Amino acid sequence: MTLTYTFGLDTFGDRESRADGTPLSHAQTIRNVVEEGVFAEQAGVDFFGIGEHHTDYFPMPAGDVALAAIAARTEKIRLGSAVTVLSSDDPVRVFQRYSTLNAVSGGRAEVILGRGSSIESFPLFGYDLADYEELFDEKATLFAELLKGSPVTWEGKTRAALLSQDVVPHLESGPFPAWIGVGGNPQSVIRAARLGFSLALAIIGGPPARFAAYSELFGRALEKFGQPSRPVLVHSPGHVAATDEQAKAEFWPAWRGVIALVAEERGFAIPTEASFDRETGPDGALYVGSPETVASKIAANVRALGATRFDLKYGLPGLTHDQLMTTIELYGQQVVPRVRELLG
Amino acid sequence: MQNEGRLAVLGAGHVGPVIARLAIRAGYPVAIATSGDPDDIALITELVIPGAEPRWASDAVADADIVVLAIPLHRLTDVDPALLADKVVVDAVAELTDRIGYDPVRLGGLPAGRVLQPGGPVFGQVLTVPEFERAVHQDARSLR
Repeated sequence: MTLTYTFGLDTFGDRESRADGTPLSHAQTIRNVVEEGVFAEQAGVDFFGIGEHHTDYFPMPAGDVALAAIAARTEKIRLGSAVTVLSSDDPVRVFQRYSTLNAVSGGRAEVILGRGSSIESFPLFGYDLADYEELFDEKATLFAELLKGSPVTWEGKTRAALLSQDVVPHLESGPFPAWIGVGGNPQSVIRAARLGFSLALAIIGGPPARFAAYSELFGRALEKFGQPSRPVLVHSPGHVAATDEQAKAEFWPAWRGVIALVAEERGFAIPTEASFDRETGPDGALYVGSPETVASKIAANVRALGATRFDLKYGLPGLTHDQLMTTIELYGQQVVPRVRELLG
Repeated sequence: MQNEGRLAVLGAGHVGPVIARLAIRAGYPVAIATSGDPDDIALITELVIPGAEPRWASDAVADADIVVLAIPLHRLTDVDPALLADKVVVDAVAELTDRIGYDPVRLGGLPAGRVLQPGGPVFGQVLTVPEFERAVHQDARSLR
């Protein structure tokens, strides 16, 4: 069977810097992300995703607005969230926004739903972390119902009940693709399969091949729940430049900086040069290097993980717009064609 | 290596399966449980923790010598401390608020065969490292 592979780029609205290292404003970063999305289509990329974040260094809580701006200037590239923090949002509102994006873009919208590995949105919107699991479970269940089309009937503890509710705008040609983002909890894989979502594996550290069991678990769970076959996507950070040395030299200080920033709340260890070398090597999770290096690693891991889509999380706080545009160009023009070649 | 005891791992999320896999590799018999039906974790067990036995939590704990708690902090109230009374309890629930990452805390000399008691000053708490060190030594003293 011939598999169809697709390749995307994801951003968190990472706050960009000028060449001298001074940060750009939130607004300029957002405008740059729109330019990057438009450019991604020109570079031949299949998907552009924006992940909801609420911080000074990821000032992008309303990515769907930026996606609409990109939709207006593009024709083919698919556009979606990576991720929507569903737990602290209203599933009806999320559906309405992305059904509207789907209309504006002529059927190119997608969502990747997440529980929130960053938790700023919980206190911001008045949610209790103790409800972390229940919020996502209920809201993902409701979102699955919304995708089936109106009228919708649902009740639960986390928002008002719906009784034969007509939710607009109606989908023009059936549900848009919807994925659940999983970081390593096998129960989340089971939930994605049970509700009929596709699976997005967020792999940001350690040997990617260890997630192969999760892909297999997903496939077996889909069968067990009587769900149709659904694709697996891999999302991992990376950076592409002319040479491995240049890519690593650009990426490393920014990577160390951002992990040190998030370490306090998430318990990550501060990276060292040795750990960075491991992660950018063949058994690590960072796709940093020349087009050939990055392409070989993507092909190997897509195959090992039974995935048919790969999204490169490009950019980091502190990188420049020019560096990001170079990554996008090299990814679309050289990496993706080479991966397709390697995958046959 | 001589292995002592049967393990019951409570929690099949991020942490439980990893500890269970390592314990199996080290030769321990391992039962894995959540708050629900073991049938619900049969597939996870088969593919992610091969060799572990999915069981009801109360059965797993009853037959175990060592119980690993790998559940969210706010679910600790679901666990009946009386069931853990004569077990070695490995608490993966407690949070150290001033420690980054998973580096071990060196506690110095402790009496052999000690147990951190459910309901004690360390069990399932949110502590700084100095508070944790004091609490462990306080726990140890209370057993003599």
